[in-house]
Amino acid sequence: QYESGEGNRYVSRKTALKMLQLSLKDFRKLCILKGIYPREPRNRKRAQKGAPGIKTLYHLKDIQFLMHEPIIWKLRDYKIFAKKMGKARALRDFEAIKRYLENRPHVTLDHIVKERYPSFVDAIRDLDDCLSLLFMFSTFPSLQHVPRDQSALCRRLTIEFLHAVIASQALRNVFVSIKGYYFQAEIKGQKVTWIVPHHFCFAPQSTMEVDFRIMSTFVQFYSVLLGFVNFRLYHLLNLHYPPTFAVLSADATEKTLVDEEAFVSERVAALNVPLFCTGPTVEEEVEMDQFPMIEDQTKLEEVKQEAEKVKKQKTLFKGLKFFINREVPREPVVFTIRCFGGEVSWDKLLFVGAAFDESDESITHQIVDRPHMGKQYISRYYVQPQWIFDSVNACELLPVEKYFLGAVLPPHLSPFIDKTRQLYVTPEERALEDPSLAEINPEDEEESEDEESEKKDEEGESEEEVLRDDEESEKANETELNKKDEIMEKKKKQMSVSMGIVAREDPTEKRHQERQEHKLREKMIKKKHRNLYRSMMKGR
Amino acid sequence: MVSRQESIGVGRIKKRVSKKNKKSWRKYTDIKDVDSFLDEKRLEERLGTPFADRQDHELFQIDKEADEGQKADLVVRLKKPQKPIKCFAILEERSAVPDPIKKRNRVRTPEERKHPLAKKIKADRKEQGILKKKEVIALRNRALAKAKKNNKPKKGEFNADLWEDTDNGNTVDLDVEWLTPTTKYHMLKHTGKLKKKMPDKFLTKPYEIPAVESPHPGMSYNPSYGDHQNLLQEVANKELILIKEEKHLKRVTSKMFSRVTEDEKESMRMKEMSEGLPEAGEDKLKQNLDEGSETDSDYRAINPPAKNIKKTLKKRRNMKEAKKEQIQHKESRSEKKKNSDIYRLKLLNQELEAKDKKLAKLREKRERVKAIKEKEPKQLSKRKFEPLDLEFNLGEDLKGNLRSVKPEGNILEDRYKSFQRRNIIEPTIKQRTRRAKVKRYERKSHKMGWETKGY
Repeated sequence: QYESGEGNRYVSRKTALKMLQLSLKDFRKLCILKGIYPREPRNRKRAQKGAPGIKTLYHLKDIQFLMHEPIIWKLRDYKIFAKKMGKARALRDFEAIKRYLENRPHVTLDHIVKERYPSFVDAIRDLDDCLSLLFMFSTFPSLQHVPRDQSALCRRLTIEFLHAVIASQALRNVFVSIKGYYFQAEIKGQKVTWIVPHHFCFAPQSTMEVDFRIMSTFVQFYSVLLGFVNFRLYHLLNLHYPPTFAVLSADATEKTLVDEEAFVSERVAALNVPLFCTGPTVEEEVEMDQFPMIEDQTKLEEVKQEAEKVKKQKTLFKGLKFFINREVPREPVVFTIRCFGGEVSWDKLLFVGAAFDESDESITHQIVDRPHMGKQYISRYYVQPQWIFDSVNACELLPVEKYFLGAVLPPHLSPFIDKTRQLYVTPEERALEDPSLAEINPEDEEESEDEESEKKDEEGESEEEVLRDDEESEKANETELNKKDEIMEKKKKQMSVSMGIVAREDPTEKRHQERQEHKLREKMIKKKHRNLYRSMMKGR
Repeated sequence: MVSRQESIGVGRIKKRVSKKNKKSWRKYTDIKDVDSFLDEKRLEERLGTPFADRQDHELFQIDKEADEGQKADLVVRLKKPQKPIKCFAILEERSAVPDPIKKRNRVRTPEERKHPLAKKIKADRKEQGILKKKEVIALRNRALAKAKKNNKPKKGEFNADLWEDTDNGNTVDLDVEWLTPTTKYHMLKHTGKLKKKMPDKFLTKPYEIPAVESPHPGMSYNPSYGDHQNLLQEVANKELILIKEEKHLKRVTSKMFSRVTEDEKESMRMKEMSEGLPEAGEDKLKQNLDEGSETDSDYRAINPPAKNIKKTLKKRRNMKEAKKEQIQHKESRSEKKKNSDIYRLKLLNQELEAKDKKLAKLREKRERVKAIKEKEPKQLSKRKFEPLDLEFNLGEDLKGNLRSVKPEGNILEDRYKSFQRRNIIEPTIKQRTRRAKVKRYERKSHKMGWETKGY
């Protein structure tokens, strides 16, 4: 019993620990590093071999796979090292402590990263989690189970990644929420979304809700992953890794640099400096393929328009010069502006790397978040930071008037299209996308044509289902736009697909009918068979 | 010159030759040494002044560069001088009276104990640079360890492109397709390019939902009215569900019991506890009689003791026969029924169809439930997954500008719960590790009698 099937496919956690001869902490660390997850069986009683209750189960094959992992030896070495250190510390043997610390065992995760992500695109798919965690950890001080250098490493890696996104102009959407800043970039065709926390005062993390040891293990693995991803991204963009910038000789000779590394790293962290290129910058010009055979003209149009929008978005802030005031959060705004080709600077006393001063005459926009501003220059616009984020989401420079100092801002809408919420389009959103929707003039053909095409673009994805059903009719209408067809089209737009009513058959009615039919057929039996039939029915 | 047979070395027998004539004299004389001497002299003349006459500085150069490697090898690590050992301190002289024998306990130091000849040989060897084999091995190992330490990869350094071979098109080209699999395996293994492929099972993720879910539009720091209301509605709905549950629980538990005041409760308790106890100031006989009759009438056997009544053989036989008859009766009835079942075919068909339909419906339902369950977090351990509350800002908190945004929600917690939701880690709580209470005591032999504490 329990020898075959589900019975021998799963092992409990205790059995796994015995097989691997590891402690629970080491086992959990190993599972996280290798990507082994606990499973839920279809029938718990069979999987647990008749034991009652709910146990944590793992696939037997997973554990057998783990047994050949060389990292297990490193974990055991670390345990021995910890024991020796503890003894030396208790005996106050400082020589021994120093000696052990010099030969401390290190865990290398390169082969595991390669194992779990055989190709680069696989690694990019998993970057969401990785980035959010690392951005969070870069804001931490050293906590109980978080090593001291992890926070610095996270900060370094995240900044390198931001530079890579800037250089490849991969950012597509920004959303500012109460939780943090949501960024969405497109790398190698994959959409990567991550959250950056608000930079307010540090809120102490409670260990009661979150297990820091586990999160630290995740961060360890993800930092290695991000390091390699950065390396490859930089090489694909022909940038030198680790990032450096061409230091002007005048600057270097002026002051005696105390620590050149710190100098470089600080300026890199400022996100304001273009990085040192090893080769010509790679411009990815992906040509749109022509598919004349496919009937889906509308979808093709959509995709083409999307591509054009993206292209336009890349040079959104080109030629514009921004100055960020002190109360505006520096990093996300600088990152967003730089991604779209703008030049930006800030107050010299705030952070390193300020390129130009507030009094520079060529500044086109100054980003302010206060209700009033002391000295105002005429040659520049004073806008609130939401203008930048909304412009990025709309892929064009929005009119600045709505975002002036002290103005009541229009709502900051989410650019993420969520399939479960798409059916509800707020009236504000509709008004935003189609400002002239309220005043459609049926006589003005061209205007309405533009509107419809615009509508198709912007609401194209959200009303995909609607469009798919009305495709045929719309296609016909596209070719000849008369007044009549226009009105028809408008009507069809208001048509919607709704759930059909299921035709229910009444069982009693059915039975009644059947009985009647049966009686009719009985009447039709031939005379000579009637007696026999009667006797048969009697026996029932 | 020709040597005589007596003074010949082993194995060489030189024949004696006569040097009578000039010819034989010229042939058999050996003038090699003279020739070589003269050759050297002429060579020296050709090169300039003869070597013997040259100055030191023309022939030799003093090497002024520091030779690091060599010096480091020969430096001996001195041991730290030991501090005087505390436990021997008592053996030292502590009185003012000096010992008549000045060097009473003097022993030779290890240095003095060594034989001078042995010391001299060692010093000579050291001077000449001759090392013992174990020292040679030790030096070699030290060099290796140093090199290894220098080559060790540093923690934050990323030097290699991990995906170079898979993504740069360094795959097997088409030309090789005609080779048999065994050949390919052999070739790859011996050129070191054999890569183990991970089974697809390990590369699939245990979750369907995206890692970072798109936020509710009402969570924006400056949301539109409709979106914000939506979000508040969702939050309110969740709260309502919780309130409803709480109410229901209250209704079926606490409200079922009637409320009593403290005094009433006290009196009831006294009454209950004093049941059956004799009360002061009553006729005891009367009580006993009453109690006796009451107890007699009250006594009912609820669970009387089991009596061991044996069944007689006759009874057993009868029971067996009755049972047999029952079974037979059943069988005959079922046989008879089988005969008439032919006429019930239609009904049977109907029944089967009904069953099929029911099963189909059940199957559909199960599939639907399965689809929903896939999206939900799986039950991986004893603890149930507890989702976080939605983050929202009330109307008065929405200030409309970035400077006065009121941040809600902790990203770390959110990520932690997201891992649990995606079945990557199982929900756990922090285990309280209870430290063992160590008992301290002092040995009886060491006790002095003035301790206040136990130890």
